[in-house]
Amino acid sequence: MKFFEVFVSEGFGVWGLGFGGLSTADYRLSTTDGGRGGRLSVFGVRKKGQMGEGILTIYRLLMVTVVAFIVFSVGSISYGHYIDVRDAEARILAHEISDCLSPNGVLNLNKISAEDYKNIISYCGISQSERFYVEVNVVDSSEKEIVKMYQGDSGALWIKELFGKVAVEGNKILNGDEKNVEMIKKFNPGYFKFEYPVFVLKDDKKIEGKIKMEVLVNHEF
Amino acid sequence: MIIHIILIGLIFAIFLMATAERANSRGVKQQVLEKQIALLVDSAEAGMDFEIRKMNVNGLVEDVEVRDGKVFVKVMGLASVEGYPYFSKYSVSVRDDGDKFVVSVSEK
Repeated sequence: MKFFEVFVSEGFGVWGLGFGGLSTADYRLSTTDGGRGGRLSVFGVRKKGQMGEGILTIYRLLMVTVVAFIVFSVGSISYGHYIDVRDAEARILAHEISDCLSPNGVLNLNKISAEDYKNIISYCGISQSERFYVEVNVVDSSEKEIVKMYQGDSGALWIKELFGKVAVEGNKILNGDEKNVEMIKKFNPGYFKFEYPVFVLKDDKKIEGKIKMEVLVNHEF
Repeated sequence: MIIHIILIGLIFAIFLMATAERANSRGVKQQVLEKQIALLVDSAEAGMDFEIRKMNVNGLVEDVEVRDGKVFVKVMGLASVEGYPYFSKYSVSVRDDGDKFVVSVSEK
């Protein structure tokens, strides 16, 4: 009888944990004499206990996995760090493009075809990447546009503009959570803008002008 | 019961190892090295060489590889999967030179 009680109590405990408990009637069904105190159908009771134990195992493993995953996530957030070098890349790329277009301070537009105006990164021999957007505006001394050269994903400009707004209204947009601002910062493209005076050679004329350049570098992931 | 303990122990061991992996910051050191090398390559002119000591301040550098326009650095046993892209217009190569790796930038 004691043996029986142990199993029942174990079975009950398991079911109680898993499904909210069985009634006394449920337990009585598992005895041969209808629960009146006769011989015990050990098989029936034992089977119930095993099943419950299996469910408990799944429950335990699930709980352990959840706890371990939380530990891992906290560890990852604490120790993971993104190093942002996109501004530096934008600066280097701008230098390369500038060196290619006006190596001695002279921009010879006769050398550059109209087709190359749209592929300025490739024209300079730099391996084109979807990460880059380069825009070069050549203007004369009265700021009138002579030519515009570009290549890359102009959507980066839109993203940059969006981030400009986020920087101003960040807390408003992201419900005042500064962590959210930090999280999306890594999607903000690297940016470099500069202008410098050049001599522009076009149609055998040499005029004083200016190169205005904008370079954007997107994230690598 | 013993099986449960073993299973729970295994799960914890796997996750603790993964957490320790994060905590030893090899990934961050790898990121630093890859990005430093990529920036050096990008800003280098043809004919320039630069050296990366194997006993580096960022840990033991086991391998430096350049392929498909990306730099891959293996630091303290942690191999690089993604690498970091560079955009140099020059040809870039790496050679193992005893206690250092030498990255050479030359005309294509």
